[in-house]
Amino acid sequence: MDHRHRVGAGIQSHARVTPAAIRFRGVSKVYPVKPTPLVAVAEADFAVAAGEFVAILGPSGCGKSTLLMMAAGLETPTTGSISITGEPMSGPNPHTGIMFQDATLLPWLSVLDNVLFPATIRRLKRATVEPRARDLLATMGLTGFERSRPHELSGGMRQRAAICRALVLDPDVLLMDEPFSALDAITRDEMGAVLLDLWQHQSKSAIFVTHSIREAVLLADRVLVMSPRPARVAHEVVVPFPRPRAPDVADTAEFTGLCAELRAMIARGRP
Amino acid sequence: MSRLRGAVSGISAVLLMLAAWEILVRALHISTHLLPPPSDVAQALIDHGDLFAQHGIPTALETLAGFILASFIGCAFGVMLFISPLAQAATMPWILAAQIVPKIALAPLFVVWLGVGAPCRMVFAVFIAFFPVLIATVAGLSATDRGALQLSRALGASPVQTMLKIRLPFAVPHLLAGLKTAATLALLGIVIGEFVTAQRGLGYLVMLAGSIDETALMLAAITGLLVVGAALYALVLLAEAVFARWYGAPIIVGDFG
Amino acid sequence: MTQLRPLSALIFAVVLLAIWQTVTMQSLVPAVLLPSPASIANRIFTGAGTLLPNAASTSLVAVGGFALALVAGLGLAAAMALSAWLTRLLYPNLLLFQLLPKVALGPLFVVWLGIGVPSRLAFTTVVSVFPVVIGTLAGLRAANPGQIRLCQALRASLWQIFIHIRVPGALPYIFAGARIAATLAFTGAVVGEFISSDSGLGHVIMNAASQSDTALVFASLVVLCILGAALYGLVGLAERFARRRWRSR
Repeated sequence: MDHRHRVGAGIQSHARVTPAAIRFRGVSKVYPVKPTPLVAVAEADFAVAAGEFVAILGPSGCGKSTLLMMAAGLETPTTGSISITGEPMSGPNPHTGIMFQDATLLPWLSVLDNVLFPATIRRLKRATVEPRARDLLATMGLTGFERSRPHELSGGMRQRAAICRALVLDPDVLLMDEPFSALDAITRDEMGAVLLDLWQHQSKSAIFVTHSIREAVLLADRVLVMSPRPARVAHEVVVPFPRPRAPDVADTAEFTGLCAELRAMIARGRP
Repeated sequence: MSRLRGAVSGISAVLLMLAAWEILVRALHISTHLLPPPSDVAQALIDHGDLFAQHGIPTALETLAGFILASFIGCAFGVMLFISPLAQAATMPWILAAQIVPKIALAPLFVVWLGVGAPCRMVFAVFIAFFPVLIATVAGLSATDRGALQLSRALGASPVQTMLKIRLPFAVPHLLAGLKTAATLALLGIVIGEFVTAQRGLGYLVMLAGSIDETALMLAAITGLLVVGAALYALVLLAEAVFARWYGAPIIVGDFG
Repeated sequence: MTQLRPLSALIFAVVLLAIWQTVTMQSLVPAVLLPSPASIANRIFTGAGTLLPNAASTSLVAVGGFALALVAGLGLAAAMALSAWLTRLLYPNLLLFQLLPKVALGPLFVVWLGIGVPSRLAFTTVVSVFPVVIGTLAGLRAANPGQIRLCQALRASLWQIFIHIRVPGALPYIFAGARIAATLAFTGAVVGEFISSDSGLGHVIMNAASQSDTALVFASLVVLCILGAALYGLVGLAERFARRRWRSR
């Protein structure tokens, strides 16, 4: 089973013809603070193929959120470059949709208006985007809540609305920064099933940052294990479960074994 | 339901106070020159209805105008200061210092500058009342939800879009708190303006009643000022209620102080 | 709030003063309306004979009124905190009274106590007492319920809970109220002097304004600002001292 493990990062793409959805080349991020500069990411070199779901797994402080911020264009790399579908990135762009730990729905907008918010910002005609928004809400099981206000929704429903908002402009890559950390365990499991279901029906790429080993193995095609000090991708593990994937794959022995291996990798990386 | 019960309990407390006042004054035979009972005050209100119209309307109008002007000027300058961190750094310490010193003492100066009349009083009221609005606007714009700002950056929003669609809506609860303070201060400014200009208005009526030994009339005028203050405050509460409906979620602003 | 770049505030003030001085020196504005900063500074020295005793008179009323307001306010708030029916009776009246600008009561105190220091002292006390009461009440109500539950589990007496939990927890609110009261104390003293007085900086200002001695008006204002800031600063110092002694939360 050695082909599952490869120490050191390498470029891997399933389809060598189409460009990678997102590619990090020699990326590092250093914050120039006094007295010693803070190295948030020492070195990142990897690619996410079209339609691939990649999880970035690691403990707090290993730079995984910083990687995501750079992918979203919210931070610029100190060295190296990031490209989206072959084009170099220069700031936030509509090819990526982002989700944070907090759903951050604007309280004065209805759920539908919140989902349409990216379109409002980009000054797109509401009529062109609204059908897609309504479809997404239906896919997420939020039909009937279009006119509701965020505070009327539960935490899980709000995150589902946030997924719709992230997808409303049809991005190539969905970026998710620990989106389920603030939810209770039961809702968290539900959201995992929601994402698995979503990935059956479309072929977007995703980067999913998490500190939950179980979540990473359940949702991802590939898990990049990050280690702190220096913050870099230490291991890369392919998740062999085929798609469409059901949540009960988490009960199999293979799943548990894979989680244990990842746990061991992370433990070795800790000082 | 508990809000209704609270209101009823509050009103009965006030009525109880008024009743106690009435009874004590009569029972202890307190001179009506010193402290007339509420019934005398009400009588004075009725007897001099025309006086109250003559003086109450200018006070109310000048207060309202002063408050509205103070709100707009305070808000506009607040936004300007927020947009320019340098201007904010240069002026904020002085603005905060201005809140500490008794600005009231400048009233005679405004009479020197603008003469005796409504403009003098209104400009003074605006001067007194716009500071809290400015401070509240800056505070509100600075306290925007970090997650929402991150979202707007991620969506590629321009600074104008961020200001209009994210910062300003989130700032309104802070602004409303500032407006409540400004409402109180606008009336304060007008009253002191009336004291100092001694021309017309309920404040002037209070002084006038004192000089002719009509304490019941004085208390009636004070009651009139209470009514004006309550009306203006109610206006702000109305604005707050309208905003709360639009905001669609419970509003939590900073704590006391 | 953004980091205050300390120099910019100072530079701004200096530039403003320079412009003011230039404008008035060129007589673009009549000195009667706006005297130059130099003439104001000069007037402070030449008018010291007038300013100092009147400053003392105003300060006596303001500080005395503030002190009385503290005592009365804390006492009333404590009484209300201990007696639910007193709160139910007084609190709505207190809130209602907040809608009235208390300075309007000035002439009433003249009726009751005549013109003179006792009248202005009582007036200033009444003007300053409300923020103290409301602040203290808010503070006593804001007690940390978790801490109180802990004390109850340890079978502490009501008095112990009051002293060890409620009072330290209330201190920030009490000081916030005291700071507002300090500001209002000088306001009350000055307004009292506006209404009727023969002494105090408010009286000096009124007099000087009527005689178009605008420089003296400004000079008095400068002295008032210093005094007001001093009292506010004292309260701030007291708060820092109290914070160090009673660290809570």
